[in-house]
Amino acid sequence: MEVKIKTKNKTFSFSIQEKAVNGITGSHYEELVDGISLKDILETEMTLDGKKLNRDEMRQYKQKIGLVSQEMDSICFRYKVYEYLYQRMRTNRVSLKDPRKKVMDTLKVVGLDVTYLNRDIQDLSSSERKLIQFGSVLMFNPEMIIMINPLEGFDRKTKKRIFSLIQKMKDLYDKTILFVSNQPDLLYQYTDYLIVEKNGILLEGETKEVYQQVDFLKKNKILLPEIVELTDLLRKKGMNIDYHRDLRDLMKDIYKHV
Amino acid sequence: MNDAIKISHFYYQNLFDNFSLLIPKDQFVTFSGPNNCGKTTLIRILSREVIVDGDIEIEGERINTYSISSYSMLVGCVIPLEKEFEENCLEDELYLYTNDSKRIDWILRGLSLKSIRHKDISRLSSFEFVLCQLAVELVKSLKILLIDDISSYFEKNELYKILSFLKKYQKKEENTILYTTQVLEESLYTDYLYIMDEKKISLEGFPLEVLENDAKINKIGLDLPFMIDLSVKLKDYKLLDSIELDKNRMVDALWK
Repeated sequence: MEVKIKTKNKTFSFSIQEKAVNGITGSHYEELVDGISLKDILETEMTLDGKKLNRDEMRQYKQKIGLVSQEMDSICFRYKVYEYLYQRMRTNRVSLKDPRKKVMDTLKVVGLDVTYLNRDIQDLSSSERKLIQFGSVLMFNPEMIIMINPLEGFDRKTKKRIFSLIQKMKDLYDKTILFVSNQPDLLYQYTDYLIVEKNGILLEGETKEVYQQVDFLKKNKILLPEIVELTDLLRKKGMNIDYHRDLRDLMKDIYKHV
Repeated sequence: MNDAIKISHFYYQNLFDNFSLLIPKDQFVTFSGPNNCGKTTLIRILSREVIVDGDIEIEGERINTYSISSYSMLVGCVIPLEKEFEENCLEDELYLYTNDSKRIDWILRGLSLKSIRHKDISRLSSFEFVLCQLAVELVKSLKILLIDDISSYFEKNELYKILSFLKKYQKKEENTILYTTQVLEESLYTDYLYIMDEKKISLEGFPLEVLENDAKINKIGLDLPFMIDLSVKLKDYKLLDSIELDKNRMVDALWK
């Protein structure tokens, strides 16, 4: 999908790969994300695949976008899980026919059991809250889900759990995912495509290929994944190794050559 | 000499089972562990946000014997986004706790907050808010500062600048900082590392030494810092003699 967004200060032109995990990173990615999520429709112009959307079309498109912010709003902490998800159904005009079943199905999808229904949100761990946030967005069946720093602050086991849910959303539910982060190691490991923002769109493409443009990214002060940085240094020294995503593959390649 | 924090054979809910912890004075320590292991709960207990029974001593006195005012002058706490500021801007807030403008300047410079010292607190971004929380606690001259899991609010390089400043601050103030995180790389900026697992301290020691226990750390569910992970594996294959944190030096060692 070819996207052109014009906000108050900037114009962005880029591609979003549908039914894929698209990474977004850069110095002012917030403005790009605000544009894509149509945070302020009055100040935004959006063109999709060459067609400029009018205000009504933008409002309709906005309803197809789900946003998972980095932190749950602290105002939600006064609710129990069921109350929070029910409120989200009402806000997003999801059908309230049998809301309890809808909430239970949502919990099941995100890997939580029904005992969570009556738990206070403030008593949940950060990973449990993150899963509830995903659930609250999945309930209204968006086509695109924008996630701000979805894996940061989690241990390895929890990252795997959250990422397998992201994969499920992409593979089983055909969602287009925008994974917004400034952590290059996470973007390298978990995204299929990457959009790098710096005073506009600097670079975009398959994540592995984008990060291999090491000198260009360094010149533009874009942080690199550590595994890529080290591989680049070894290649410049004369070691003929490939770029890998997994440390064990890099290890094997180094062992072959040393 | 009393320790800063002493917890002995502590039991609490499903998180701490015969848990003991001894943190000497004048140390910058990291307390790590997987999600839900009790890092934040420990901070809440030590800040007295959660009142518990148990053998917990702060600076040699049982935690529950301090008055509210005396405890607030002794122990400070930063839990991200959990604070009500009294004033509209950071500078005014800092002057509530000290009249020492040099001290305020030093802290604002150290945390790169000079440009937002007069900004309306209600308009701060999340990471600016967390930095302001930190600034307020640093200005107070506390004996013990508890900092809970701030890493996800900052880019790596920004966080390392903050940690470098905290290290200088701790050395100058000769106080104790207990910093929780599960990003083990951050522990390299601190003096000592505790890793919690299964309701107890599972590993402890100087950070670089602890981090060589890659198998155990992976089993606990934490990610090793990339360079340490690779170094340990290359050491096992006899391709490196020691842990190497610098990429250029590692490359020189591998490809002579």
